[in-house]
Amino acid sequence: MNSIVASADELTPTAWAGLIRRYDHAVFLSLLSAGLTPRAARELCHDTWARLYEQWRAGRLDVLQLPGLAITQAKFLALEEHRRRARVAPIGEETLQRADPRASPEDRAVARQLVDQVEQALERCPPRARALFELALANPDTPHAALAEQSGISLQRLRQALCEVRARLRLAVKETP
Amino acid sequence: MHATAMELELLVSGRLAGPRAEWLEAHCEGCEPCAAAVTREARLEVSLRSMAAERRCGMRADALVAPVAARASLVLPSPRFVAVAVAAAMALAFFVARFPRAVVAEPAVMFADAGDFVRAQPAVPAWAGGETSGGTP
Repeated sequence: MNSIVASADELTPTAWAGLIRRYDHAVFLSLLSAGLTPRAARELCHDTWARLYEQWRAGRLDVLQLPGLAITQAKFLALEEHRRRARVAPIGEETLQRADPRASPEDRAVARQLVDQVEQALERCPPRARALFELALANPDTPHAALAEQSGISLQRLRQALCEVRARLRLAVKETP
Repeated sequence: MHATAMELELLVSGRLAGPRAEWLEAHCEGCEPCAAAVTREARLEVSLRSMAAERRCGMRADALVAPVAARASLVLPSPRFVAVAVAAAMALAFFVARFPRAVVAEPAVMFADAGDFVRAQPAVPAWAGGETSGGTP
């Protein structure tokens, strides 16, 4: 997903709605990966955008860098919420801090290690299935039917290959501490 | 009943909607294994998106730096190579020294910007160097 850096002066309420539609899932996903449940993540996403909108209305935002600013704000709110009520973040405060984009180099190295492990697991997959998965990864907005036609295979075969590769990658993530 | 792998994938890719999404979100509030599975699936999705972004942008920054650093440690020249290089440089210097020198004429006037110290002084005419005549009586 492409990031955006915009001058906050140029935004209108309509433009805000468009930005929220575009980047809300990135914020939601970052909260899920930090250990929040889907419901808690949805609530925090809503609070995050509301908080950012308030800051913009108050003229406290000069530049809006998305989705980074929203993710940072969401994780800050999650941490705050966890400390206050201890009802979100079943995995714990440490996980939330580890997923913070402003975390220490060691924590970033942990995230880097996960990407490396996923990449290695992908390399161990059968070449044909790996090629199909990489094609789908590089073209996230292209329908699977179009990718299947481009690859000269049936849609069912493509989906089967994608599922097989993802299952292997899922296993690699599960084995990661 | 637990969430299926397909549902987890659809949830983290933002394609799960309607009653099934509502069921999964409610289910994860009470089912710890499914909540943990959602977290793992989200981490996988984030990693895959990072990987895709890196591939879109070309070579990874650390992959770019690492081979250069590795090469720098490998290209240390051996003493024999250094000796041969020095000998070659000395031979070249000797050969060049025996070339006939080109004569470069001195410039008639040197212009410089280093200030008055190096600026060419205007020539003083002979009549200006004598004693003053005292003027017309």
